[in-house]
Amino acid sequence: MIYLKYGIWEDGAVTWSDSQAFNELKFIRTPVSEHSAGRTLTGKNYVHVVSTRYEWNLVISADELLDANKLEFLKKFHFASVWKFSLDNWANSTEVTIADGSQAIDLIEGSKYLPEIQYIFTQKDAEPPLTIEPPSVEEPSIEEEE
Amino acid sequence: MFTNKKNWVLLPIKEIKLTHVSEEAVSGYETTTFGNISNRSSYSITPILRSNDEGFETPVAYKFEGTFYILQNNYEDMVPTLRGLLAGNLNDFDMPLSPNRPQIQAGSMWITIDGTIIETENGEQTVRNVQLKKWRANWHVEQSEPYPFLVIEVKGLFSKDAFEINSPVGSPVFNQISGWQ
Repeated sequence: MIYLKYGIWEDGAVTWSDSQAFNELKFIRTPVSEHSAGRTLTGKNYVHVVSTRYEWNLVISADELLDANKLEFLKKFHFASVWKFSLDNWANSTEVTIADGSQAIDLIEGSKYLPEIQYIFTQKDAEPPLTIEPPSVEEPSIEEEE
Repeated sequence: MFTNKKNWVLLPIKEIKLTHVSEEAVSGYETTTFGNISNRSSYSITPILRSNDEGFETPVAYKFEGTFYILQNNYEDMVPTLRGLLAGNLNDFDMPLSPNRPQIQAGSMWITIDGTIIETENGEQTVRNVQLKKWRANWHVEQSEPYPFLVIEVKGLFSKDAFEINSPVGSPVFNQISGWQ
């Protein structure tokens, strides 16, 4: 179950819609990174990590969209300014952006009455820089000391 | 050797009814009943499957497809029938199914596909809770000896809740199954 909200900017603040729950067909998370790569004057290649974030591929199929209210929600969702989702009924949520352009609708069996809608959500805020714990120094065993 | 396989041929198609727009009928609709259904006729009810993110296919809707061969041994009836089929959109479809001979626990079934598209965007109450989608029929005449067959092909697409027993307020799509409910 995924919970969605959309929002619009009003007087400098975001007004969020009511939550709408969907039984999703697919919801797949993919890590995405943006790099700045080049080559120094000494010929050494470098890659700087600009940002890292996640993308989610969401597919909601015709079994959910037979509810006209849910279909109407997704139409407004597409015209909104800000978006967020939750997987635990808003105990935690993630703000995302969506790609511009038309809503991606696949018509099952070619029928407009059986729509399947797909969204690519991109995490709005970048993930914090990756940290790696230094390897713990192993104390030499007694046998090695001998 | 087990040879009575025919005993298990249940629920042959007794007749089909098609309702279509008619300028002559008082109600604006006319129902034509087709009997003499050939055993070449067939129908199927299949789930429309989509792959989910766990690698399994799950039904999101259902499809009804049927091809019915109707013996036309009366040319006088056939021409008005074709004229009626041509006159307007086919709106409703009924298909009684019953066993070809009395059998244990062999009840009958009635498939009814109401072609009305239910609009609920305004939150209006609907007569039928099943969010039925759409169906359409095509037909042609097939020549054979000694009589031709009228061939009607029906394709219906309907939503997943068509099989839910408790939720429909009105008539479910598949009903009158003996022992069901």
